[in-house]
Amino acid sequence: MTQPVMPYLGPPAGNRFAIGRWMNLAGPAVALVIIFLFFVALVPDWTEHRSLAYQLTAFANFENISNILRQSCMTAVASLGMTFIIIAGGIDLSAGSLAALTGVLIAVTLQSGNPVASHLQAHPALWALFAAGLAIGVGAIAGVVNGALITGLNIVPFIITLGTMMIFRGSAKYFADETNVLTSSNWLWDLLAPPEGRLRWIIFSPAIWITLVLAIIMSLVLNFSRFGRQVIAVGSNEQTARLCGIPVARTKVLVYTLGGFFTAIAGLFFYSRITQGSPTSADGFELDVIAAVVIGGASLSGGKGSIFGSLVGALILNVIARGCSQIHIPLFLQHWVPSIFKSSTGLPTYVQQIVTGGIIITAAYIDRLRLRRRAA
Amino acid sequence: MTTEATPSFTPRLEMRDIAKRFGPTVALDGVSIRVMPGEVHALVGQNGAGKSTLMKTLSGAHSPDSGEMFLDGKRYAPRHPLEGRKLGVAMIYQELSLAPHLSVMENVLLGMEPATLGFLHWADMRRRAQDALAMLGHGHLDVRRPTAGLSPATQQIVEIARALAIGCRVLVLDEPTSSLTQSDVQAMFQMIRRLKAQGQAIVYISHFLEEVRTIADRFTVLRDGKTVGGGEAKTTPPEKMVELMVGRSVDHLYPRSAHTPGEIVLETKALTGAAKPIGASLQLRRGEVLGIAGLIGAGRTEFLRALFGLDPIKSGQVRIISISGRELLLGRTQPKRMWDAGLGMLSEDRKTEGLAQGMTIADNLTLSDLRPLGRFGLIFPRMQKAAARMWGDALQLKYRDVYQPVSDLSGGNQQKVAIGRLLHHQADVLLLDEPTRGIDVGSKAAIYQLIDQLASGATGGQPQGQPAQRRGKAVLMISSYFPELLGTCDRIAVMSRGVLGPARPVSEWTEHSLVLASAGQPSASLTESA
Repeated sequence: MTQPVMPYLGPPAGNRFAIGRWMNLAGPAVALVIIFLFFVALVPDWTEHRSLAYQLTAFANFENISNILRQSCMTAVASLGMTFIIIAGGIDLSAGSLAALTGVLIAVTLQSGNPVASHLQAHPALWALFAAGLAIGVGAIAGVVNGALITGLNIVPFIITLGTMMIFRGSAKYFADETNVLTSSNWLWDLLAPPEGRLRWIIFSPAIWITLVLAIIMSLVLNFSRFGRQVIAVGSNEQTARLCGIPVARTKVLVYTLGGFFTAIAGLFFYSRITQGSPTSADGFELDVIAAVVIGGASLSGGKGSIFGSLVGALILNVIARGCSQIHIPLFLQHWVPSIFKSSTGLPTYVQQIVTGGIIITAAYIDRLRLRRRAA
Repeated sequence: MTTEATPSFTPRLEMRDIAKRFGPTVALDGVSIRVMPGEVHALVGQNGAGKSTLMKTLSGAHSPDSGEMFLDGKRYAPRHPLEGRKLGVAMIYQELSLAPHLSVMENVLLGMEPATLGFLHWADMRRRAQDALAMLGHGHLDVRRPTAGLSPATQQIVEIARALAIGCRVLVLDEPTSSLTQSDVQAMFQMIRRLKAQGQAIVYISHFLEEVRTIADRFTVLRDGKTVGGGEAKTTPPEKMVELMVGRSVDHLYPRSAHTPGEIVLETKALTGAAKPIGASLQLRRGEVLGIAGLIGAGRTEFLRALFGLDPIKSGQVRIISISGRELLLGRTQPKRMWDAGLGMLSEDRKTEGLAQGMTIADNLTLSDLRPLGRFGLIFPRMQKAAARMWGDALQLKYRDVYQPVSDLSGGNQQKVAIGRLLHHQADVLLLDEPTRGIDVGSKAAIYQLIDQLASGATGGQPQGQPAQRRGKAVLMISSYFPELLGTCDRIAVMSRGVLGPARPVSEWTEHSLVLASAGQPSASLTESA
């Protein structure tokens, strides 16, 4: 049979799609570099007579970068699960509450006055490990509950997780008795602390390495596993997934389970940072996580997103936060707009919030433009 | 006819030497077309011939690189579709675009509601909507009903009424009958003749050449972005039109090799769905193509969906005898189980169900069975690429890269990907729902050939490297296009209002008897005499 002529496809003009796919990944990374360089330029006080090397490292120094990475860990690790959820066409608003709940559970387990804990005084390290495991297990179960409610009751994830958001927050307050739960020092505190002593050789905090390893695993799962492909299929077109015999409900429940699991790890990192269980912590955290995933190129309508992009998104958020607090305000600005530029360094947090909001919208718009150009 | 009572020598619409490029791709290369008032002018051509680009140029969605357009002798150069519409060019697309929650009259007058200070004049609206519908001979339609519950045919009427309410001078109908049943098609033709008598100029785009011959006065054929011919629709034989469209003669549109029906592989026993089908029983044998004819809405798709587990079964059973001889008797079905048992289904709706448009060709081809593409739950890109390329080549798919999104492909090529999924899955029983809907003649011919080969066990079903298994597959096929059923099937059963009739050898059917049976008039005389 002769082949019919298809005029509009034209001659195979290189591999345009491969470039497009590469662009999808590179876009957020390029944005991160630009934002970083922006702060490298604006943090130093250029009126001072210092060496160029000194000025350029005012922002780009080890201490600062290490801090940014540590701050990003919570958002980054929670974004691993959220990326899967969003790719599957869902959303999880309960992440912030769940992070608080798991943090509280760790603290309650390790609480100084805990009667069971006193029996295990001989093995405090083991007991802390148990506390962390328990909290992560509860997180995963909370994810199963989210997934089961969404698929079982057939109600949109926005509503279900809005409900569980309040339920988890309330539970956290119940377990913590509405106050902060204090614990004595244990090795979980070291997770997010800069490495000291024997651990100095790992350079960055353990949490950073844990996040990185988990991210690599989840990226492989997303791109090279059957499960990953099924998640993408469910988000891309649920009807097609059903037609192809993909267990749609099971896939969704699994995706929310992963979400709960990684959110609980974020909760563990929160505990490690504040060294106590706070039922009111991580307020609005879910929105940071969703923002990171969206800045990373995911589409809230599902079928699209990447782990690498979400990590970059988390970094962008934290580079902006840190940069804005360190930025050097030129004297003339302090003079002209004293209401905003009150001191010589650092912008008020509301400026940082406004900037972050703008970046989210810009990221979504650039994505839109790219899609439109592809469609033309 | 009263049409010629208005002697007019200025064409209502003239497009002269229209050319349009997209980057290096020439979409239109000097297309000319002329439509007189009161004329139905058919535009035919394969998918990708440039019909839709031409119509987008006419509507104002694209502006031509060169060439001119005239409406009633006046220069017509719309900058955007809204302007085209205001100047009197109305497009009715295949996909209907009504707001389902609004009433018929609100839809008819959408965007041009008579109002004072934002308050609508309901009485005026109703009258104007009714007037527009009356022009189509449907003045009786309750204009206050929401459009959501209306049949596709009625929704289409509402769309056309909307075009008339604006006062259109050129009405473009893009595949208007593709979602209509036989009787609705007749009603549509009535309506077109009515508009024609009112002096309306109509551009009629269709893949169905019989329709073109029935309804159109003249036709123009596009191929590769050029006008390649045209003439009087009534006096030109369809073979001649196809020849112009394809650029070669298609003598074997329906290939037919010897099929040897074997053992029963699939049986339904009084299968009843939520509303339809009602007690459908059928036996499908290996090595045969069994067709189900009927009107749209008769319950054929629902039958296939219930059988495959996409819709619930109320009562009845499905019996499957797999290749290994294992027998399954199911009162409840689910797609996963069906795929595992060797069944594969092609959805009638490529866009919203058949394919995940955002995913790649490779993913869409292999989605139902990712297992052979790697081990330990993994997918090895190398193996997926190889599998996708193999099926792409076997199906003569036109593609650049298997990791290209499937939405880049033309309709015919998308359909090949959707069918390729069943082949990749090594499905033994193929359930095909409207396998050639909305695709071009070349792809249709390729799909007919494939169906024939699958049933005869010649090729197509076996990937290279595997021992050639000369066992035919079983094909169950739904189509609303009866010539294609008569051309490809060994046996045909007709479903009417949810009730499935007995399957008879194709030799006992004619297009006429299929139409009669579909309309619910059991050819009793034929049953008794047979």
